[in-house]
Amino acid sequence: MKKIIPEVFKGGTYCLLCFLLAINFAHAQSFFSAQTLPKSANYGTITTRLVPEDIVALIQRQNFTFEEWSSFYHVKTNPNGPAVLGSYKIVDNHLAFSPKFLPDSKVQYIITFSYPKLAVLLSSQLSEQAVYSDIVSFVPPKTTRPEITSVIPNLEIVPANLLRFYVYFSAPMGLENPYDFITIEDSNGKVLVDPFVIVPEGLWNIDRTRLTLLLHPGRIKQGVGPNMTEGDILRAGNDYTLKINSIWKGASGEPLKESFSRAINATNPLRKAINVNLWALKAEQKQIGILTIVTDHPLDQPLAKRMLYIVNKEGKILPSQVEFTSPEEVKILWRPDGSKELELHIDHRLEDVCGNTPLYAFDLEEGTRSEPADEIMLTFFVN
Amino acid sequence: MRRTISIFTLVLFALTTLAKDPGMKKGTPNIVSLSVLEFNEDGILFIGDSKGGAIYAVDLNDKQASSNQEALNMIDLEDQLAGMLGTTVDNIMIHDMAVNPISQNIYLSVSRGRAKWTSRWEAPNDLVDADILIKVSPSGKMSEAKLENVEFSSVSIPNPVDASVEHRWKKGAKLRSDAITDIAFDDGKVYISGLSNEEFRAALWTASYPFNENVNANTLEIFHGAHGKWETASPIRAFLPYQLNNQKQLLAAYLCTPLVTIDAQKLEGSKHVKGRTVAEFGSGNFPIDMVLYQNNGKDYILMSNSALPLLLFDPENVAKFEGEITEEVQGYLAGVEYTPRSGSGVQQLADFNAKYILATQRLPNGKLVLTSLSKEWLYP
Repeated sequence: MKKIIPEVFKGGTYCLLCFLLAINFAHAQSFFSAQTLPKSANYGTITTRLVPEDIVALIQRQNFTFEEWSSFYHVKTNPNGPAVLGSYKIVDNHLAFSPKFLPDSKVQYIITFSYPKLAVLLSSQLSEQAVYSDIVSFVPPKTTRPEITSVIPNLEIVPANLLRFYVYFSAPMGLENPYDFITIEDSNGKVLVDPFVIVPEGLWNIDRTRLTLLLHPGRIKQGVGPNMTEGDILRAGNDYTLKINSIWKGASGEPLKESFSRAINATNPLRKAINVNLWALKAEQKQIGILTIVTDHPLDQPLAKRMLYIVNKEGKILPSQVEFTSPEEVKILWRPDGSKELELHIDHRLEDVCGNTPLYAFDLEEGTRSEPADEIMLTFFVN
Repeated sequence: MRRTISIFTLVLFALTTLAKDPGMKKGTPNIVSLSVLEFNEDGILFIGDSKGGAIYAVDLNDKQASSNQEALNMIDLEDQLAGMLGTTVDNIMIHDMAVNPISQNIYLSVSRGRAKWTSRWEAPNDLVDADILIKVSPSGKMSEAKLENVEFSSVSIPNPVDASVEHRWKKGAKLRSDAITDIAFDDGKVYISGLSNEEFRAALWTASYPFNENVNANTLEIFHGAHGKWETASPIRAFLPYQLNNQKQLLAAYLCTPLVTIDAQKLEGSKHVKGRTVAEFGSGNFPIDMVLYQNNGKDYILMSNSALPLLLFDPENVAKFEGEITEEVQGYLAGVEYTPRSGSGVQQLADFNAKYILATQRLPNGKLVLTSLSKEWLYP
């Protein structure tokens, strides 16, 4: 896309520009190159090919204002419009323009460089007489369209009294009402009415990349008002589909990359407290220690990551990391300190996916709950 | 002759020196948001920075007097701005406009942020911070007014509403964007309306200019006839100082849409000041701007709105209005009479020259124009 033409281009009509650009496309390489640098102070640059040294020397002697620079080298979004604001500088005999604001990837920038106009500004004859013009688009920054990276629990069969879903996004989501975009449908495609607790703007983590969907506890808990009047949300033995619509926009204004759909089958409700004595623990230790726990209930994973600790006999909590291979299989990786006997401490606030804790079942009446006694822990040994 | 010129030059120099703000220094003011703009008669630009919680006085060295009496009309102002900012027109937003009374140069605080608009109640400052100042000459030439290496002074406003406070009903908006909603310069004082952290959030600060450290802070309370209740959390959206019955008053317009007089003599200490509601101009609307002008030697006030047409009212009628509105107004209209003028979609207003008021106006075709409203035709 190269063009060298005599001084016939006077910043005139769009037709003339189109003609010039048509000539451009007939040639190989552009006089200009554009680069987007979204994270730099300059956002992006448009750089000319090498300008003869004698001319660069003449420019260097001047202290051109923006208006002067843009009289011979300008970037526009419209051939008859004003020059895009920005700054100019000389870089190794190239002339570089940096726009004041991040280039808009939707916009085509019309760039013109005129040696004759530069000659007028310098009041001198120049060895070059060409006018170059081209259309440049900045390469858009890496896509900001958010994606759903996971929905937890990642189960196709869930207890009918499931309490929460967690939806994870690859980028922060916008401020639209999340419940406008999320539905649960029954096997006939009928949308369930009000399955979630509506929290204005949703229950988000601080950077709006994780949404907690709380299924209405009043409809899950047996015998309370909403459960008596509206019934269970999910019924054992029935099939449902959790759907998230891709028109939902992220904080960047871009909609989700694609819709989400997961078929789920509701099975018998889980209405018992977690019994840690039923957990199977297996530990191995090399450079790092790995404790594999098979639990009696599928656990609430985000909560479990904060509620399980490994403690040595001196009572010191060892640095560790909790990972799930499935909601019922947890691996805790820890940094060994030489201890052969260790304890798995379980915070009594740990919950399974139905809100049952090690102390009581979610469905237990409030008055019958007991306060936590001693810390819940399981001892295990490593080789 | 030469001696006369020398004396004249000395006097001019002395006057210039005396008029200069001794607190000014040369540099680049650390302005976070160009929330509101206002000039004084000496061509000093006052910038209200809601996010930074400060008022800046900037000498733009724009003192070339203009006697222009021509109109200025620019079709598709946003398209021109979009070109300068290297983006599409649907992304451009004008936050405020002010005209230097000496040079008649027009200054616009502008941002790329209109694409974020989701509610008719959102003001531009709710969406994004204005971050560029654009100068438009009386003939329509546009350029960037750089706020680098300029003479400036500043003062912090005490206790502006905290950056974390959520707006009660504007989804996702923080009250901080309303920390400064309008400023007016009058008789050596800068009046600043906005929101504070006080229990009664609506605030009016008063700073002497040239600035010193002392900024007076008063909380405000008004009766909103359309809502039928006293309100203390809603900020003034647009106001101007005016002498009513030989007393300095602030004529202040609020959202949805009461007009209130506030006695400037009461703006002292940290008093809680009650305004006198003298009109209800209609619901479903917020005032955007107010401008005082003269037609045949008589004062009038023009007010632009988000949802109502241009409203014209006679300050004499405000002066004559006795009592105040303290009971719920049926039908949302009451008090001082106004004249609706053709001019729906008018947003920013500024006194341009002897003959014209300058306005930005959204036309039915969606374009935003910079247009001149003839004062000669603007009467009740």
